[in-house]
Parts: sequence; C-alpha cells; structure tokens
Amino acid sequence: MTRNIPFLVGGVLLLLIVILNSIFIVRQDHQAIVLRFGEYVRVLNAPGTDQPGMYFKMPFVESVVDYDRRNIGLTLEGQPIVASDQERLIVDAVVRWQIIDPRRFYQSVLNEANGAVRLETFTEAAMRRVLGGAGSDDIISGRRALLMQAIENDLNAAAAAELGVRVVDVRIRQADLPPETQERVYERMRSERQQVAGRIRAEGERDAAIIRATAQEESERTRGQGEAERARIFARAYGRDPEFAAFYRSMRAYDTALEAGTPIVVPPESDFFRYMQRRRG
Amino acid sequence: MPWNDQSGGPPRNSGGQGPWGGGPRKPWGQQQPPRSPQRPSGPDLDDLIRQWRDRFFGGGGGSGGGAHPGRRGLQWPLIAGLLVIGWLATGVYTVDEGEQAVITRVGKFNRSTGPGIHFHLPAPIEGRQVVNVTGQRTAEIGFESPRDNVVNDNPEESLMITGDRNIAEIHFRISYNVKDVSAFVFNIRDPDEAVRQVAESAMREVIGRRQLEPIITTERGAVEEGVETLMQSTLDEYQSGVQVLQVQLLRAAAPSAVIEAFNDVVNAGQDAETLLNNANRDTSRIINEAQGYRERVVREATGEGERFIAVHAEYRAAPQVTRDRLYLETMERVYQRGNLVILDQRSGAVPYLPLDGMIRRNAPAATPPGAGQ
Repeated sequence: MTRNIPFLVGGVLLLLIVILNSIFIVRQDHQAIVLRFGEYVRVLNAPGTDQPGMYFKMPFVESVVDYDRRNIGLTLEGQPIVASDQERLIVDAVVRWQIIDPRRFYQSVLNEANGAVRLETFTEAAMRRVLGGAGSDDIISGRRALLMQAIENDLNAAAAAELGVRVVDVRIRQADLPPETQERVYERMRSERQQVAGRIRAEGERDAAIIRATAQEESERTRGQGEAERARIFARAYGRDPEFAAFYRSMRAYDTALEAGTPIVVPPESDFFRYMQRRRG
Repeated sequence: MPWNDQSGGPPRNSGGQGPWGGGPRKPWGQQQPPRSPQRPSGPDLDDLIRQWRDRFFGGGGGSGGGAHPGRRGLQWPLIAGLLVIGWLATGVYTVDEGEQAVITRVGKFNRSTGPGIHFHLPAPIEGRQVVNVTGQRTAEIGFESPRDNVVNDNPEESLMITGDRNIAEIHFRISYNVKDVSAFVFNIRDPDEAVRQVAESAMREVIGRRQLEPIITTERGAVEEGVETLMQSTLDEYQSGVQVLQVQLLRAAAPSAVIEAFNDVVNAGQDAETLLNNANRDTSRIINEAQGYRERVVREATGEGERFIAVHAEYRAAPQVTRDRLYLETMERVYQRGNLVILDQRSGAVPYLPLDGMIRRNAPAATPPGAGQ
C-alpha cells in the first residue's frame, strides 16, 4: 500500500491537470476564441450573442484566447491638427471601442494592447482627414458633434473591418489653441475688457457731466426768474417817481458804498457846506 | 498545576497524585507520566510539537502504535469538514443598504440581489460583485480639492475655449449613480473613468457653442442643463447603466491670466456709478442754491420796493424837506466814516495832499467823490 501511494498521487494530479485544462469559463463581460494548434475553431460570447458560461475543450490540443467584451476607452492626447483655415489646434479625443469579431482581431493584432495601438494610428489619420477639412470654428464650436460623427464613421468604415472592432463613439474631449496662441488670445481678451472698461468709465463721466450741466441749466433759469422778478418789482416801485427814485437810491448807494476811512476831498462850495459859506440862511 | 504538586497536595486529592495518576492508563495518558516527574513545570513546546506530529503523521516517534486506527478515524473527517465549511463560507456575503450584488454562475450573469445577507454557490462556481448603486458618485473636473476650502486649479482640465474664441475657466462637479447594475458591471470597462471623460467632453462641447460673457454671467443654468442632457444621452448610448444626477458649475470665470482685466470692467461700472452719484449730489446742491438765490433776490426786492414806496409816500407830502433831510443825513454818515479833506480850489494854488499816507491806512478805493456844486 505504501508503495502505491506515489503512483496514486501522481495519477490524481495528472487527472486534475487534464480536467482543469479541458474546462474554461467565459465571463459575462468577456469573449473567447478556441484555437486547435493555432487554427481557429469557434468563437464564444461575441457581442450580439449571449453565451457566457463554462465550456469544455480538448486538453492541450485546443487553446483559448480571452478578450474583453466591454466598451473600452482609448485616449488620444495632444494631437496637433491644422484646420482648413490654417489655424493650429491641439485636440484630445476619446474613442470608445469594442471587439466585435474576435477571430479577425486575433488574426490582425493578436492582443488588446496591439489593437489599441493600431486603432490609435487609425484614429489619428481619421482625425487629420476629417478635422483638416473643417474650419477651426467648426471644430471648436459649431459642428463639433457632426465632425465627431464623421470621424466615427470614417473609423468604422476602415479600421473596424480590418481589426474586427466597432467604434462606439468618438468624442473630441478638448480642442484647444496651442500655448503660444493662447497667450495671444489672453492679450486680445484683456484688450477687449480694457476697451469695455474704458467705455463704461467714459460713459459715466459723460453722464455725470450731462447731469451737472442740466443742473446748471436749471440753476441759471431759476436765478433768471428771480432776477426778472426783482427787476419787475423795482420797476413798479421806482416807476412811481423815477426822479426821486434816482435820488433816493443814490443816497443809499453812497451810504453803503463808502467804507470807513475813505479819503474824500470836498470843495467848500459843495451843497453840504452851503451854510458854512453864507452864514445866513 | 495541582496534579504536579507531589509534596503537600490539597486535602481532596487523597493519593497526593495527579488526577489520572491512580487509575488505569488511558492511551493519551501514556505520554504524560514520563514527563510529569521530570519537569514539574508542565508541557513544553517540544512535547506539543511531538504530540501534533504524532497525531497527523501516524506517530512516527514510535510511542505506541496501537492508537493509530482511532486517531485516523477522528482527524481526517474533521479537517475535511472544516475545509468544506470554509469553502461554503466563500459563498456567504452581505449587501449593504444602497448596494446591489451581481452574481455570476460560471461567468454568466445569474441574478442581482439587494441588501441583506445572502448565499451563493461557493467560489469557483458562482462569483459576486457588490456595487454601490444608490450612493452618489462624484467626479470633480477642472480642480482638485484636497481639503475643505482649498481649491487647486488644474489648467489642463479647466481652461476651455468658448464659441467666441475666448477662454473660460470652468470648475464643475458631476454626481451620478447606477441605474442598471448589470449594465454598469458588464458593458463598460472602467465606467467611472468613462463618465469622467464623457463629462469633460460634454462640457467642452457646450462651452464651445456659447459666448464667454453669458457663460460667466447669465447662462450658467443653461450650461449645467446642456451638459447633463448631453452626458446622459452619450452614456445611454454606451449602455453604461449610469444615471447622471446633477451637474454643478462651481466656477465659470475668465482665466486667471486675464481676470484682472475682467475685474476692471466691474470696477469701471462702480466708478461710473460713483461719478453719477456725485453728479446727482451736485445737482441737488446747485438747484437748491439757485432756488435759494431766486427766493432771496425776490424777497429783498419786494422789501426794498415797499420801503421805497413808503418813503415816497412821505416825500410826496413834503418833497423839498424830505429831500434835503435825506441828503444831509446820508452825507453826515458818509463824512463821519470817511476821511474828509475840505479843499478850496478858488485860491489857485495846488496844495500838497499826503494822499499816500491817507490811502495806506485804508482800502485801495480812494476816488474823491464828485460831490460838486
């Protein structure tokens, strides 16, 4: 019995290895192709089908290549693009893609990493083609959605068939001006703002001046009214006896106009000294 | 260890020996007698190791082979049972409130379960993935906020070009959760990263369609709405199982490189406002002054006019007397104040008048009043 134990253990191990090698699991979010000595045999759970689960294969003879079945993101950063109006733009894009024909994918790129690299090359070319024919305004704003769709279609027509993938979506994440242009944009933005600020200040000054002038106008008018009224009042009062008014007003003027200490030279013949001369009335 | 206490011993141990000492030897007891007398301190490590080796490898040490069959029968099922229990235990899982678990049987989606404790077939047969579905997930784009009240701008993400070729600085936060757990788990690789990318792309698209001025002032709500709609439709197209809950525009402003110029526009508005306020303040001063002047002038005139009319009435009664009196009274006051020099010109000689000295004492106006005959 003791002598048999190594054989027994060996046999069990061998059996286990064989069993393990003939069973494989295809996950819900994965897909697989089965190869017999490298030759394609069958595909399991490709998109569009629903075949996840446990499968058997011929041990050692058949091998399984497992691929992701999900929507995979591929980021392309800092792609320089020259738009049709010669404006340079830096474009970042995200491509969402999925392996839909694992057999084709295996034949053309073998594994996912290679596939991503190839797809990146395709995308760069498609972006140049599509965006290079569009104006920078279209890329930045107006027709961005349409352009993204065009890149997607372009990729699906060329790359998809060759790589066995489907491009679910292409999104331009950023379309920005290169740094040196950016500084110029800032300069322009600044000058625009300065212009606005200057205009606002000037308008303020103008409006303030108008307000003051209007007030001055009103003020002069009011003063004029006062003076006219004054003239009318005096005319009516003095008009009763212009001669006496002149005398009376002169008297008051002498009284108020001459300050204390004003030197006054008076001849003795003046009216004031009439009685000094005559001695008698 | 009371049974090792050979000397005195407690009264209840009549024989003064260990509890097993007196009776017939049990199989396990065989190992103890040689040890107890030699080492009163009790079982040590060597013994324990030997003991375990004996149990599991059939007592290679040669101490009593007769016990073997009994040991085998007892140990192996126990170990196997423990292993089976351990294996089954891999199928026990709990799902918290707000979470859902996705169960796959040999890789295939089988069911999703809600909160509570659950069991699935053990490890290789069924597998689980527990996902927080109702809990809000957030992504912050354009900035990093390592602590509260600290916002570090990330220009790579935050600077966006607007439809009128300006550059805006945008910080925003999106919150989302999972509306379809199996789609979320199976359809997209790294869904959180995908949501982030979609958000960034949608925001740039929306910003690119609008002008800078409205973005940073009145159209913030519209931007949020536009991004939310665009994100949701894109994510639905991916069948991602993601529900966008909210897009919050935290900052929409001119980039820091030009913020000064933008602030200056605000300042200019304030300056203009100040100018207008000052002008309005002056207006009321000017107008009130003018009204005061008018009132004063009119009232003075009225008074003066009435004064004249009163005097004139008296004058009419006695013209000559009044006239002389007025003249003399006035001159009296004037000459009283003035510096009077009486000069008789009939003599023909030109007298020297020290006018300089007289003027210096007084104000400059020194014209002799022509009060001639």
